Amino acid sequence: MQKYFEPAELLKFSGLSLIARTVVDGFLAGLHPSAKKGVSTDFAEHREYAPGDELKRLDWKVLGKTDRYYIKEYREESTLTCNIMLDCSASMDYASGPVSKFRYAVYLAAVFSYLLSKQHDRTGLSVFNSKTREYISPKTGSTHLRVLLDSLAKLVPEGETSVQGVLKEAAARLQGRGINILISDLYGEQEEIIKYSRYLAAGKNEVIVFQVLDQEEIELSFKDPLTFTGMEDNEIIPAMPEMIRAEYKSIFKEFTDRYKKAFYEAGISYILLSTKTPLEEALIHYLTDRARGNK
Amino acid sequence: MNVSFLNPAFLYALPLFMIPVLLHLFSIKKAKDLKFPEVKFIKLAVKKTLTRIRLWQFLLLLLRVLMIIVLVMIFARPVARLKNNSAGSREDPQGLCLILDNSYSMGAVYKNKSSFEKGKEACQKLLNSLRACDSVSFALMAEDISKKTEGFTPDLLETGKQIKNAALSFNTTSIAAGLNFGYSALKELPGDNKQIVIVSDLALHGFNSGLKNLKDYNRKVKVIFVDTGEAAQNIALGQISASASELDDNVKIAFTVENSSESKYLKIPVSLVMNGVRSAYGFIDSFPGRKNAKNLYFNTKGRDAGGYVELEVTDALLADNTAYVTAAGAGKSRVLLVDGDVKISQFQNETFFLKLALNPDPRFPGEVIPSVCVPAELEYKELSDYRAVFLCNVEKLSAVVSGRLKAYLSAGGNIVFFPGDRVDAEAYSGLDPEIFPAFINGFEDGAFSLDPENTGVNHPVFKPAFFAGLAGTVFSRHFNLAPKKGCFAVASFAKDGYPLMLEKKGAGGSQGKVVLFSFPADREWSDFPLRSCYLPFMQELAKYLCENIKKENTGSIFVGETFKKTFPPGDYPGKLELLVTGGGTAGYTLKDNVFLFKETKLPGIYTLKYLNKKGEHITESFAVNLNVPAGESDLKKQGLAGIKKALPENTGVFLIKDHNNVDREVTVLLRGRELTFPLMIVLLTLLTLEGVLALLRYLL
Repeated sequence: MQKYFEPAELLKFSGLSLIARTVVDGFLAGLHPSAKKGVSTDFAEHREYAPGDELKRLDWKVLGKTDRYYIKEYREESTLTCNIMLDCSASMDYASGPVSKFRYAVYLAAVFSYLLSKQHDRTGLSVFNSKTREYISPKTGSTHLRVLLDSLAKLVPEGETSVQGVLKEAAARLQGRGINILISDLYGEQEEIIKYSRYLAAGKNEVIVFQVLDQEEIELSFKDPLTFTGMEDNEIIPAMPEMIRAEYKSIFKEFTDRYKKAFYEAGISYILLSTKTPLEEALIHYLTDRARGNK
Repeated sequence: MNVSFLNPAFLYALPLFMIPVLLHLFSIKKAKDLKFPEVKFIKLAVKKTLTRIRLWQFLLLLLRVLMIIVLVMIFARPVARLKNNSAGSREDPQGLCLILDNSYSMGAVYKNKSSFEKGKEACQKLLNSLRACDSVSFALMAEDISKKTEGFTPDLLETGKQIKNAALSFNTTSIAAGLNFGYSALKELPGDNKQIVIVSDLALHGFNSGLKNLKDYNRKVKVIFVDTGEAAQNIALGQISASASELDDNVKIAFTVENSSESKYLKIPVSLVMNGVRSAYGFIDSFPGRKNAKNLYFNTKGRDAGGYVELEVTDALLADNTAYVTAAGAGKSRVLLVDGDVKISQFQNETFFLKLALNPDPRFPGEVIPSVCVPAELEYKELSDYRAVFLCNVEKLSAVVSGRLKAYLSAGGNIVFFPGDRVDAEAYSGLDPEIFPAFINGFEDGAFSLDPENTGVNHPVFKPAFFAGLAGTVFSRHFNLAPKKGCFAVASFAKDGYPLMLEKKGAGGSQGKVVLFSFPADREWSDFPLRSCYLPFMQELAKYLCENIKKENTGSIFVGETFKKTFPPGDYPGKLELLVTGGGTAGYTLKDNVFLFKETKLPGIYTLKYLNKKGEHITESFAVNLNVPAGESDLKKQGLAGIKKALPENTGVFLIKDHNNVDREVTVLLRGRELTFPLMIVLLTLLTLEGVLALLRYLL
């Protein structure tokens, strides 16, 4: 019995709200309570009372039971500002299976929106291709969540990608501490993307990059000779996939490895997701990253 | 190499090779369009693998084109023929002159089968490969050619029988003789598709001479050699000769042993068998690659002898392990003197004067060697060792002795009677007339002398020079001898006319003689032993008796050579008989005093018997041996390069070493090799390569 939903199975659900809730609630219900301190639980630990501590912070129940003085310590409550940047270029529309890269990215964005809203964090959405097509400023609340989800549901991928420009804008827009979640296939000028990702990750900002790719883009497992046409630049390349597969895979791995290395050096979380990867794995990665107290 | 096709119509399908080219082009045009997010990586991959892809595509295309071409060729059934094999076409009738080497080296056995047997099998296979339109001529080849078919015949069945019945000869090989026969025979055959096939062990000796000047040579005629021999190790008896000592009866048999192997040293037992008895035995050191000499000695005891030297070794060729030889005695004749009145003093012996007359100086034996014995010894003495037995004053002969003397006489021996006072006249008169052909009617006393009217002048013993001596001899007593039937008086006494000497020839064609004298051999009844004529008379008598079985050794010749004897004038034989080795008689030619015998086919001892004008029975013998010195026993083989070098330039020469598949090889040689099977292999290989390339497509 499989543990998580296959992305293709999520197509059966109608409405991003339901998908996000199903994934997140199902995922969180499966977590062991003691495994993590929890992002929404303020209690951190007990420590012995020391003179000067406020009496109101005494744990009276412990005192009653053990006749010893313990202070309950809580995490500092803070409100995060999270900006989800979703690539809506034409290249994201590619699908070798039932789920396109864009559909997968939308699911991912919806899931994070729901999760963050549930934690009462302020969540914003930035949709882009060669430029920012839509921007929703970070806010909290269920109403805002609805706005986000509705907005995601209406999106149609088109145009060329220019991630670097959008990163530049996002870096300028961020104020104070925040999390930037970039969901894209990261096609474009690789070094520029890395460069502006570093800008974005400067200071107290956290950046999490989800590179969403179709399995065919990674494997190029076509058998018949094909004439490939670029979805953004319409460039035509006839090729025999079987003959170039090894070389292609090598080049493509070099491409993703470059991101992996550069993002690691910049302290940016980088996850390569195939459209066949369950969304929960992205959540695990995110929560693990958060629990590790990255930044 | 010329290539023709059995189904050339299929060649029209060759343009089909364009199919893969068209398919290739078509498949490129028909590639599906696919929208892909980012093509720059594909573009880069294509750029990096372009050369490899194009090579792969080219190879694949080439393989497929080749596969179609090969497939079409398979259906067209190509046939390849050697370029220099241009005489005639595949369908032309073929004239085949099949020559099987039957020289004695073909008898070499290797792995329980002789080269000759292999050759016969090869000939039979070759015959089976011929078609109904072909014709064949079959002959056996050694130094001479033995035709087995009359010209060329399409009757393969009969030719097969001839092959089956072919037999080895003892001659040496002559490839030139075979080729001369082949070219001459093929000359009469119409058409150009002619071949001479020589099935032989290709012994080096056969290529020695005559191959550059072949009779009726025709360059268009192909010469195919089929090798059935094995370069096995062989040891052979080479030259052999006999030489007699002048002083005694010893004969030296000198011979050589030829070890044609390159590395095998052997110490070989060798024996000499003379007159059916092993007379000498020894060992010979046989060093490889050279002739090794050895002598064996044999005592002839004065007689001629014939026999052979035999190597006791098991090698490839057994025939050449025996060499025949004849040995003449030293010319000395042994006679036996039986003394019936032995005294203490030898001077008083009955045989004293006779022995002295026959051999005056015992240190140097003369032509006649006398031995003396007493009558009792006659019962066991080997009489055949003596040419004549002189019975001197022997009282009487027992039945045993009479029987032995009769047998001795029948075998060609001679008996001489000298009577004396001890002789039992009645007993002698009653003897078998074969050994004593007269009656003794007492004796006469008085003074008798030789009758001048009957001196035996025509008899070989009574030489005119003796007459004076004989005439002066006074006989005081003599027996009265009355000849029985078949006996005649040679000389007689003057006074009473009684015979002095009687003679009778052996019965039943025997060459033996019986000579009776009416007086003793000593001086008891006469002074004859004291006369000067006594010695020469007795010598002549002995020679007369001994030479009536004269033998002459004529030496040795090789198998196939003609034995020739020229008779001196006046000695022309009236009757002649030739006994061949192994028994039986043979034909010969005798013209102008020259005797010729060509049919020396078998090695062995041949004997010639005739009666000369003097009435003497002459026996001559000669040995016929294998011609080992010619090199036939050396089983080393000639290679193709050597054959080509020996034959005239531009001769189409082929060598088939695999005699087991000679039919297939010759068929390929003459009618070409059908390439269908090799092409199928090529097609399979191409298919395999195509599969490998397809696999590489996934692995790349």
